[in-house]
Amino acid sequence: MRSEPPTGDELTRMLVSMKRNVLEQVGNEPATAKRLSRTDRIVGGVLAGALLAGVAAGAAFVFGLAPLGQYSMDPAATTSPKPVTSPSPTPTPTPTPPPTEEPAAPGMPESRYGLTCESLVDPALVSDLFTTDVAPADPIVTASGVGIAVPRITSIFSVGGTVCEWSNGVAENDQYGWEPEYVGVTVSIVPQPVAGWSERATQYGMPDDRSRCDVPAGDGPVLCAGSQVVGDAWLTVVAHGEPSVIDQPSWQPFYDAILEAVNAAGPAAAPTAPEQVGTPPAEDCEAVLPLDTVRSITGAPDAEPQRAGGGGWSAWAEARQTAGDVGCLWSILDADTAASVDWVNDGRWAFERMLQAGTTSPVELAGLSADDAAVLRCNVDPYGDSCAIDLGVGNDWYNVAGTDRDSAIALAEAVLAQLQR
Amino acid sequence: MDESDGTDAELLKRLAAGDQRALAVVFDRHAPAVTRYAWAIAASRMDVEEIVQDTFVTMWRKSSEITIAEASLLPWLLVVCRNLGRNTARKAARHQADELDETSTNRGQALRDHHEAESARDDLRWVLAEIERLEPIDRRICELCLIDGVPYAEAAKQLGLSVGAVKQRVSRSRTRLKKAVTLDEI
Repeated sequence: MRSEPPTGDELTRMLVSMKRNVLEQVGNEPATAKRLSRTDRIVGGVLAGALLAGVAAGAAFVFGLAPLGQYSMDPAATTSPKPVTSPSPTPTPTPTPPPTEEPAAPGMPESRYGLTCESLVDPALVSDLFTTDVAPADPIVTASGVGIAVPRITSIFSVGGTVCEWSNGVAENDQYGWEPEYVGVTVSIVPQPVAGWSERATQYGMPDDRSRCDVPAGDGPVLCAGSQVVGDAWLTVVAHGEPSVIDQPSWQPFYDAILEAVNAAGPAAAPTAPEQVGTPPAEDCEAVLPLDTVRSITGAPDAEPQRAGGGGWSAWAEARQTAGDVGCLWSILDADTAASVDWVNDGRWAFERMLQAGTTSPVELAGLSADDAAVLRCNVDPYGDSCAIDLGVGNDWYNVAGTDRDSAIALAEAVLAQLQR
Repeated sequence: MDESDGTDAELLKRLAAGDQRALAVVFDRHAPAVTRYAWAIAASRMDVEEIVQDTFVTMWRKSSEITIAEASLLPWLLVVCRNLGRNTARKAARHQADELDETSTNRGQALRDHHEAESARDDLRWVLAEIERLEPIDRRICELCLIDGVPYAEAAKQLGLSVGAVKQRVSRSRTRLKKAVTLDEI
């Protein structure tokens, strides 16, 4: 362009908006790959034009470029721009309800290591890691307080792994970036698949071996992270919070104690469910939602089925693949997502726990049987109008997302119809 | 370059492991320069936003395949940004071509080619400071790719880079960082 590039506040707003969109886009790969909709981009372009035409500074934020998956229960929060130094796309933290004493729900697979969060590590070591109070939290509830996707760690439970969290109770889902007010640590233990670590894991050099704390130069969280193979387990531990609330010297003793506990737990018991090897072909998505139906509902004749991919590999991705929870998405021209369906096999228990985050509203669907349940989660204006319908069907959890409420409902009804065939 | 969040090579490794916080750090570090470059090559602000976003998403997706030349990801990002900008321009040109006859289209392409060759340096006008601060090999990569039009992989080959060489440089970079920290502490 002939004009000078933006500077100062204008550049800052532009960078924050783009960063939010990038993190949102990659955040859903390979989980749900709900990328920016064509509508969002068009709206963004119109608003960008309005900005260039001299509309009040900050309009991009107030009416902004809306990443799919944003969620806030507090509409007022949408008028408060986040500081540029925050990498989080989350509009506002949603306090989670007090954690349940024992986050077990009917049907939840037991830990194949026999580990419980109460016995995993000395509570004193947890307290030492932070200079503020933290308490046991339900990681599914914590993550469900932000966004409209299935929390990534859900599949770790599904494969008989263990996930424990201690936090200050602020909702956070790393799929959507980090929440500045969140303080906590999450321990994930993923059993090795019977066939060995996946090809993707090997390709990306996973599981990797590391333990360190990274301190930001400016604003931002201290991030302490560890990853290691312990016997047949892939252990990952992530703690973060503002620099003033993390006691970095306490990180290594905490991490070592968990290593010792996992090591002492010995090898995992045999899996209780069949394990999936590799990612199924996109053609299989036809059974979940026929392509013609997707194209008809979304009005996108170019939509094509895809399996999410790319963006590295991690413990939750390994568990998700092993559990057979790799979802489907339908994209237009390999860019804009028209629809997506994710699921957690035998994950009705996780669906019930997700509800505890308090971010859903009831919805009526054609074809829903009396024993099943459906709830709606939507983005709040101005963060877009994409929505997801969460379905508790039989023992499973389905998450069906569309670019707006009506399409999400129609897609969910189509999924129900397929399930009844 | 502020390396307190890790060198670009270290962040690249974290990206390949699916660490989104590393992506946030890389974005904060390089997005201003990529945005200014995109501003020079794109036709509209909407295009700039799309190109910059796609540049970082591409980096995320290809993170396990990227070999950086010296110490910075910026040359790779600028090359990808340039390529995405060209794709956007081609799409726009195809739309315009619908309304033009073949002769005028060819003439337009020739003019564009000439313009590209002539203005490649000019396109870098708002990122010269960043390029100037790069290590010599990274600067040379920028010249070869962004001015001479050499593909990134070919440029790396021309400069005799290998995976081993890259690792050695990363190690050297770490040593430099450690020295800097030590000196600060003294």
